Amino acid sequence: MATKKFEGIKTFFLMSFMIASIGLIFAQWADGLIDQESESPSYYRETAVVNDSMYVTLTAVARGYELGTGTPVREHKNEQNHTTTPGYTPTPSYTPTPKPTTDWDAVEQDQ
Amino acid sequence: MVGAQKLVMKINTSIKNKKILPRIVLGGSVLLAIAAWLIGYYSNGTDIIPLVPDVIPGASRVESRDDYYIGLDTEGNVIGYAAVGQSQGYAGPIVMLVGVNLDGAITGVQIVTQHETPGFFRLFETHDFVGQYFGLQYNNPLKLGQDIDAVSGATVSSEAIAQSTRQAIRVIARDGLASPLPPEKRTVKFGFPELTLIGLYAAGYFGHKHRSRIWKKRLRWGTLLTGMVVLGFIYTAPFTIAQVIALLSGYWPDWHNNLYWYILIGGILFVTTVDSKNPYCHWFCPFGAFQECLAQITGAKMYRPRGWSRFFTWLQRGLAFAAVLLGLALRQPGVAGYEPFATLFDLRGTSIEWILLALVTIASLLMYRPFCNYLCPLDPVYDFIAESRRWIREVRRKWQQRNSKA
Repeated sequence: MATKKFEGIKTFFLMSFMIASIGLIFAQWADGLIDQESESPSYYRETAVVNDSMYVTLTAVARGYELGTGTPVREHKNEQNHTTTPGYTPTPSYTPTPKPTTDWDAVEQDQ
Repeated sequence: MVGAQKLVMKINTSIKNKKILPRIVLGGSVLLAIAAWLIGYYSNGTDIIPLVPDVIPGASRVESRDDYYIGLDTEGNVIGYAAVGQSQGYAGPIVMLVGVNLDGAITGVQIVTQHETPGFFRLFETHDFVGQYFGLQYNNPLKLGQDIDAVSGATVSSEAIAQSTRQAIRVIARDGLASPLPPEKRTVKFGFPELTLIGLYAAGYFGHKHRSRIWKKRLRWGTLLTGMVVLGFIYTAPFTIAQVIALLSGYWPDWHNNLYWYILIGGILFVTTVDSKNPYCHWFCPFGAFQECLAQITGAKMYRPRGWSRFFTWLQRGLAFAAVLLGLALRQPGVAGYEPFATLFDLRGTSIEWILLALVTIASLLMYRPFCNYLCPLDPVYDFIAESRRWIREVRRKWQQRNSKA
């Protein structure tokens, strides 16, 4: 009788462990996928075929000049991805931009 | 009609034979993995040109050449060059875009694509790793330990970023600045971790064959503790599902810098295929050793509730297969892995990884190696290899029998 009860407790612990672990694994996958979306634009593949019509490409900066505003405007469609990509984007005067302000250690500690 | 009935009867008999079900699953899983691989391969984007102005500040036009880009200002004057470099990181290629001005100074470095584990990749943002390159000359060494500092805890990724950057710089120097750099000397990295790994394989192989139980037990504890300390706590280089996915994805790292990777994966595949023995899990898996040490404290035993054994086996296989599909379809091996190995050995990880590690640690005090027996995605990989091996041997035997009769 006691053995049967002990067996029941062990099964309960095992089931709880499995449910909690699988939940955490799914949460980990979801967390990783959300991170990847914002951090890595993944535009590039080594088999990229460069379109000949793109030989001379007007960038967003130049588009601002063309419109006659006199001020360069940065507005290409992938802007949002670029800013979150860990990269170093100096200003036109070659002075470094400030370091990323997101303190991931602090974010993780908060979590 | 009669033919169909015969076929159904034959399938029923085969299922009762208990061999066909694992093989149907095996064949189906291979097909699904191929489909996931194709989805992953063809769903990647291609356009790099919009990123070029980010690394050549002031560029308003970009000209694309065979393997590099030219940045031009509004008046059409060349102001810099950019190129792409690629090297294998921990879980796949890391692609870097680098910009250099006409004076040969690096004006921008950007990570275009990476497949690393998210928790580790965040370290590069925290440490502003790529910021170190800004202002350096194209002919500087640009090597870790010289003018670039590696991110502690992510050395493989740091090395891959540094190598990709150097590769891009070499293209710019040769094609853009017309001042080619001398060829880079590539030395094979072979040291203590590689030697330890070979030693552990040898100990595991001969340990399996040793007759004396006492010596086998002593040897096994020796390899387990060595694995935990050296491969775990010192080098944080255990075998992971991300490596299996990287292997299947074709993300094979440069062997000069990653001989360890080839010895680890090659050794496991070779021994499992040839000898049908699992040389890793029971002999020197660092995380398995950690759980076993905990079990020694409380005397925890292996526990499998009656009637649930097959369910748990298939659940574990399902999780592993989901990880492989996810990794292949998204081309993100680092995201698909769920083992808390690095959290334990490198004390780094997300809050979810820490909770999972805490859960496994507590469970290890109550059960014998709970992660290995119920969750680890690598055990199903061995099952897969073992089943494939059995199947191939059986087909070969039947074929030989037919030939001898003929």
